[in-house]
Amino acid sequence: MTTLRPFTCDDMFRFNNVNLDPLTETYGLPFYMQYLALWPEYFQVAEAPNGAIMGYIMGKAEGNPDTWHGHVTALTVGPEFRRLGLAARLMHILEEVSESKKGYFVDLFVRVSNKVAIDMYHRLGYSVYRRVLEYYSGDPDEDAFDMRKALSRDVHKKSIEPVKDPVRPEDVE
Amino acid sequence: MAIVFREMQKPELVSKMYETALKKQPTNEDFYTQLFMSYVRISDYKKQQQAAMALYRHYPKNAYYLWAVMSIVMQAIFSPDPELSKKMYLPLALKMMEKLIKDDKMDTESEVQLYLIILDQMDNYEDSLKILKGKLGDKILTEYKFRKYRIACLHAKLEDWVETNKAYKELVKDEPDQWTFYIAYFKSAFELINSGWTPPDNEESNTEELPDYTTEMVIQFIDDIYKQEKEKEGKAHRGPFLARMELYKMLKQEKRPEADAYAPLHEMLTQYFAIYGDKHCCFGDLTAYVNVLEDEGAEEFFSNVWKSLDLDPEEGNLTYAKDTKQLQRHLAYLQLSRFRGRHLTLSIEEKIQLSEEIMTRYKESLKFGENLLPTDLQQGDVYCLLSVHLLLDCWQTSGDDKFLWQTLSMLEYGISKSPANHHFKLQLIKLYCILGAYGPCTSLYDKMEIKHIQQDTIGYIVTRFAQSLGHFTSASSVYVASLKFFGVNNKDTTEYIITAYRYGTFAKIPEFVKFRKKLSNSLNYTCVTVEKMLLELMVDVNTNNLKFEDLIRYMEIEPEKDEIKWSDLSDNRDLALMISWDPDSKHLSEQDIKDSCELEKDWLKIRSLTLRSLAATALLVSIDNAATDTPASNGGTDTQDNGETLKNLIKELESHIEQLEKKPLTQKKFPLHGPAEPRTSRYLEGKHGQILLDMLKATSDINNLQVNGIDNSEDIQTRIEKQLEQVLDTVKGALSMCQCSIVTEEEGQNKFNYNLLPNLSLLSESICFISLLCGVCYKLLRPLKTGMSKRTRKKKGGVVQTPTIFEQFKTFLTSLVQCIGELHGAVSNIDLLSISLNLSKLSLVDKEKLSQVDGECESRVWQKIEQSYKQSSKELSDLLKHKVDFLSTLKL
Repeated sequence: MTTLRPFTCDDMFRFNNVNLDPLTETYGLPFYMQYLALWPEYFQVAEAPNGAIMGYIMGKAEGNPDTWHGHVTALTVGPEFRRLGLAARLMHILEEVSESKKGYFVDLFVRVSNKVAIDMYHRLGYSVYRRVLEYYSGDPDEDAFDMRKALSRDVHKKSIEPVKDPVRPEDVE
Repeated sequence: MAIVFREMQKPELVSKMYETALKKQPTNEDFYTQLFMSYVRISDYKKQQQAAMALYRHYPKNAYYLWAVMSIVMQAIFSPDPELSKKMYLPLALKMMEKLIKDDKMDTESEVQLYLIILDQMDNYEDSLKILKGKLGDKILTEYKFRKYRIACLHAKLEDWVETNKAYKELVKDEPDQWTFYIAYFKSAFELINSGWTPPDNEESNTEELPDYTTEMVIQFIDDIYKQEKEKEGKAHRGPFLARMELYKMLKQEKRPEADAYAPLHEMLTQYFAIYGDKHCCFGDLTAYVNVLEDEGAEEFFSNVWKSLDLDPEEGNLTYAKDTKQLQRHLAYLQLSRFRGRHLTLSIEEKIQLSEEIMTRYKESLKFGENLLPTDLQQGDVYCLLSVHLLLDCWQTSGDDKFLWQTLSMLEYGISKSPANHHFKLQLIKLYCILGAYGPCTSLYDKMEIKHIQQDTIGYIVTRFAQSLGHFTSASSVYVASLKFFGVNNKDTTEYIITAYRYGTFAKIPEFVKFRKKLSNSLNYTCVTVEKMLLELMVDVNTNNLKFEDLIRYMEIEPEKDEIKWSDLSDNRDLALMISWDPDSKHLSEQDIKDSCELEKDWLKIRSLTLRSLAATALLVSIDNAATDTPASNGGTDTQDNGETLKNLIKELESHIEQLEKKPLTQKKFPLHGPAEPRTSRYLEGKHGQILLDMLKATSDINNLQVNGIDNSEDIQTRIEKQLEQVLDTVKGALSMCQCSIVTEEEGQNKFNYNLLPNLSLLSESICFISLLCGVCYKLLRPLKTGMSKRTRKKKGGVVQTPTIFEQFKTFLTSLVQCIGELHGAVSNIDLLSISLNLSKLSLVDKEKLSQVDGECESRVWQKIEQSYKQSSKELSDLLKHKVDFLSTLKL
């Protein structure tokens, strides 16, 4: 039982239960506010009946006219609310919004080690488009998979034809 | 230049600059745009409007027109006079938007959204509905299903329950897991039922168009949805299952007979548990309904669930969960049992037994996490937390601290097995602070990687304790980190208001502005600001040649001004952070949260008045006023004003403290998972307010001598003498509370006196404030003394009686230094290492009765506590030593 709705500033006062998870980053206010100001429809939150924040998705629309697409910037679900299909529902909204904006595809980056997430994205119809070397800085740096799912505008699914050779982060637009 | 002004945090100068530039180039589009933005930064909505209109006149673009309209809307939203908003701003904004429609210029989604914002502000829901249903509504595309949701919502606002019901019914069918839809559907249905609504005769034939207006219809609808979901392939949504229980609960509340005919609640709960018991959210899902169960139903529910768990002991041995699903179901069972109050009735012995059993299960459950990633949690962590909560119950009912000690070891054990779990860290911070040990909290807090806005929402758990437990260096660094966040935030976030204007996301603009207000009026931020200044006064003044009055000037404190906007203070603390499965009766209530906020404000007022009073005294002797050595001649207006300010502040502080003494709320204790109480009640108990007030009064009176001359001032001098005596007496009283051993023996059992350190720390703070004031008094008295000596010398042979004040002050200083010496002794005695107490041999824990964890965790706890006390002892001792050194320089 969930309520999905647009994320608002006040949610930042209460998203600790989700953000204290070690894999969820808490960013400075400008980061969230930029997304709220530019792509409010891409920033959605899931709320439990008692008002607790269960998870949220942040994304944006970007690209040139011929690569116009939706991008998933962050997707997180609190530990108590996992295995409920919540991430899939949040992803669905993002895809719908991208459809309404006439994007060709939706893409996202994921750590190559994050098997749970990669499996989930596969289930949701995403495939690995290319590998991005040392995309995540850290000790050591880690590669990312750039995963994509074609939207209805890309009738021939050209946007998701995999690129064989890995690319460097600076080559990613 | 604009960047420089912005970095200097002087945004008003940017506006001035562009105003001037536009005089030279009155049609420069970029200058106009920049001018508009500069007004946005300083929230001058009126000038924004003018700048946008001027822009539009020169460059008739829709965007500029919309900026002007939005600027008017902002004036309406933030106007202190709602009448002005209703009668002037909003109608004007609306007229401007209507003109756009008339000229056929409304093309974009953001224009339509702005139009809707205005109608919404005017509570004009009919017109909003027309827009949304009409052609303009077609333009709204991007927000997910916005149009559909909004239309349903507007029907509800118009209290058109027929339409509301129909709309939400459709929405529920469409998205059977969206909770708000059910709530709105139920609300509309019960409105119709309770008003006795029936369909008009002529529409009877067309039943599809009808809303659900009878209880039967509602039950039927929810049942249909539920059956559909149940029979669906794949994962079932929880919504329809919970909606049935919600409906039952509402029927009960409405005292409808249909409730009894409905499936019994405990059966629905049992069924839900069977499907979702292995999900973490099961507990949260069912809390609202477990409480509605009658006792009998509850018995049945819990016994059914227990049977389904398949965990009955075999031959007297515990049966453990065989997989993580079974484990999770058992956890949900325990959580719900606790929530239903089934732990309340257990005796202490039974609680200990259950706690031990659960802890054993925790250890056993660790096998499921053998290849755990450092970022993953152990599946059974809730076992450990529940086991701890049971012992904390025992601690609270019996007052026996052995339970408290034991829980620390258990939590240390838990964190060693599941280092990513923040609940362990939060709980440990809480308990270490209760025991007076702040030391371990720094690393626990750091490991949670608290940053940015979390410093406002979570920071309170450490900012409350670092200083009050004598860890001044740590306190200073957490204060600095918090203040940095607020400083940066203030500068950076305005840019996104500007972005929202540029991109036409108008709905976000008032939201951003309100958000910024909440942050800049944050209660925690305000407390930290004041505490940090007090800490600097305590620690930094009179060391390294830093003068009291210089620091006050540097801090830019104007004591006559109360900078705190008390009524706007926003309590941004996240108080839902600490996990608890306690029953409602023991849970942190809304009232508790309100009370806690009030108490925080009460304490803040003490601290803010302390700061301002101290600042006022510092300004009595600042360079401008104390330059001349002759009394009475230098009574410049500044001195008099500051003297007057000081008197007013003393009065204000005195009446505030009197009020708090009479206020029962001051003694309120919150549930353990709730916020810590502020220091007020301890402060009042030690009469620290009295100490400060008497010393402030003495300072004020001495200032009086300095301003009005010392001749014929015997009355004042007697008064000062009394005040100083009282200061000493009260200090001695507070000191006697601190002169006890850290470990005492009571009825053959050792007891660790964790109330000692907070008392020592409070008294040391008071000593710091007194010392500051002694410095001020000294500076006021010295010129008087010099003046007297000159007069004595002049009156060769004649006897000029030296006023008693000088001798009194000297005696006072001597006694004060003596008291500090004693306090220093008490402070040294809490260094557990130096008094070579071996806490691990103190047997604070009754090993035979409590055996949840091994000795290793126990010794880790003791070590951390020893180190922490050593640090507190050292920092307090250094502080006091500085004060003695300083006081010894005050020789009249």
